[in-house]
Amino acid sequence: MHPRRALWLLGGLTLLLLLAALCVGSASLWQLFADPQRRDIAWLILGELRLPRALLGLLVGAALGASGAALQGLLRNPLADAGVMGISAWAALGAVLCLYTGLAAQFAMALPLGGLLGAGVGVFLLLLLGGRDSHLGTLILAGIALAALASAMTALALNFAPNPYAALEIVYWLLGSLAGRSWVDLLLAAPLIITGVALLLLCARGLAALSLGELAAASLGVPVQRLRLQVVLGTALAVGAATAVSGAIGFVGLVVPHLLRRHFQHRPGPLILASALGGAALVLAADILVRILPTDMEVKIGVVTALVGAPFFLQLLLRERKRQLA
Amino acid sequence: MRRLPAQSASKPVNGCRLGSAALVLLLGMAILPASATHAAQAAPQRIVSVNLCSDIFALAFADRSQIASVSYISAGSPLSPVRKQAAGIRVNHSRIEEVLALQPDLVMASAYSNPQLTHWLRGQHIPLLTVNMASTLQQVVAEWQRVATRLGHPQRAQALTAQLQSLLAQRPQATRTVAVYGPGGLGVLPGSLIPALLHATGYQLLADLSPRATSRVDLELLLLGQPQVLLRMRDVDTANTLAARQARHPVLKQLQAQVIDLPSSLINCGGPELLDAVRRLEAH
Repeated sequence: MHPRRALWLLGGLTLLLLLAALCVGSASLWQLFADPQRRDIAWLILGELRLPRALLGLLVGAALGASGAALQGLLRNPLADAGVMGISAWAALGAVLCLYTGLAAQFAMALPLGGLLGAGVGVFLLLLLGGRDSHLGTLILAGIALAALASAMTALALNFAPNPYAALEIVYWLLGSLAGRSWVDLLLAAPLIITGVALLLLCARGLAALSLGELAAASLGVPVQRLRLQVVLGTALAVGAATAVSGAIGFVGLVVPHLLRRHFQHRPGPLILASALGGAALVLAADILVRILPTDMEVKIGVVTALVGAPFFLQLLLRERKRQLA
Repeated sequence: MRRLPAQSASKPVNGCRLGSAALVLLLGMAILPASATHAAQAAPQRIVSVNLCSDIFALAFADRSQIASVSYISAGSPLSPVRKQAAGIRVNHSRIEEVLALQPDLVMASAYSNPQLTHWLRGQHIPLLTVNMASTLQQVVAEWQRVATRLGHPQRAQALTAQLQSLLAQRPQATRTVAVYGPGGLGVLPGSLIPALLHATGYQLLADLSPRATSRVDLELLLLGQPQVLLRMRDVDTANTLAARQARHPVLKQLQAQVIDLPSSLINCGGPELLDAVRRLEAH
């Protein structure tokens, strides 16, 4: 498929899922709109409950998809993903610390900024431990250790908080959900997510050169250090802000670029944009699914993305190992 | 006469004054049998209470000199409605060694207490008094009477019951629809006293706001229900939790409902703090 056509298709799919997300809920909007006296309730449900949730799903998915594609380009490793490599977990830790110490109550932007800071620390540590040496095992082990550390510290912080709901809230921060989100959350996160994704999109050219190797990229005039910094910052902004308002949702950045890569001839440039769209589509679809499933408690989005993503991860791992052995 | 009280107490159906009068009568009758059965036992002199709810009952019905220890939650947690009364009393953490060292002649616990401890107490034949959670006002009053009698002061429960009766007699005539919305978006939990309490104080609870088996309120159904009153249950003083953040969803402001804030600590245990909850509900 031609890359441009694939992009249009992805855009159409995302738009379709956005509209579908607006139609899912316990109230029947058609009936409400038909009754002139209750039309204002229909507008409230649509405008104050479903629209912010759907838009947030779109942005969070775009952040996760784009950061996955960019990280994979930078590390030249198809297994890099903000969720799997613990960056989301660090973002969650940052947000948790800001929320439960009361910082976020005094200064609303502290919540996404805390996520940003946490994600920044996470990416930095990941690059420090597993970035230079692009050996597969090192990166994965570093990611696993970092994710475990951040999750443990999140749980610890919540256990110290005077909060009878700590156990429930740990699950939210570690698995992610869009339930009960409002315009407040959207407006807090959107500027940072959009800036982050834009920064990542601007990396496209440099990452394309980097796919030839660091030396080759440098000889082409690509400032590799600056490129690295730009990916780190873009990821921290996008993933940090997204996680601060939706919890840590894993595997999106892994599955989406993997599915799309061959349609873009393995070029990281258009792949970042495509992955942003694909990530948005995946998170929207997962959010629609958790709302439709007739479970006792709404399933967390991270559960759905992990169920889809973990088999991909294993398949990729086996393929990479075969390649390295060969 | 028999049919009315049963109907008025258990189901949050649209109330009437007759039902309320019958309820008051029945509350009075609940006292009689309980006082006869437990009167024989000697009043305990070294009470160790290991749970917030049993602490509340101990502090309400026993003399301070009878209480050897209360749980650490009563004295320190913002969830406790008896922080002042518990101050200065030795605290315990519901551990077996602690309780043993205090040499209690009665241990008070609740249905949610550490099961290892209660199991062990039964094995050691140390007297155990478990405070039960009530879901109707008759159960509340019966529990007051049972516990107060065991602690040697049945008249205190009678006085409290009389106060509750006179408060309930002042309930407003008009019935208003109400929706309950608590931290984390939780509504009415199963077995809760809230439906009975709201019914007795002149409210009609909107049912079926939680389509899933959990008690989480669906905001769309809440908007559809258009309650006249939004009862916001609050847990902790601090706003620094995700649960509190969710409870402040901006769409709630779009509801054209009167908002009443009520600390859930006034209702959770069904102790004398319930009178305060009744006063607040009737005041609005």
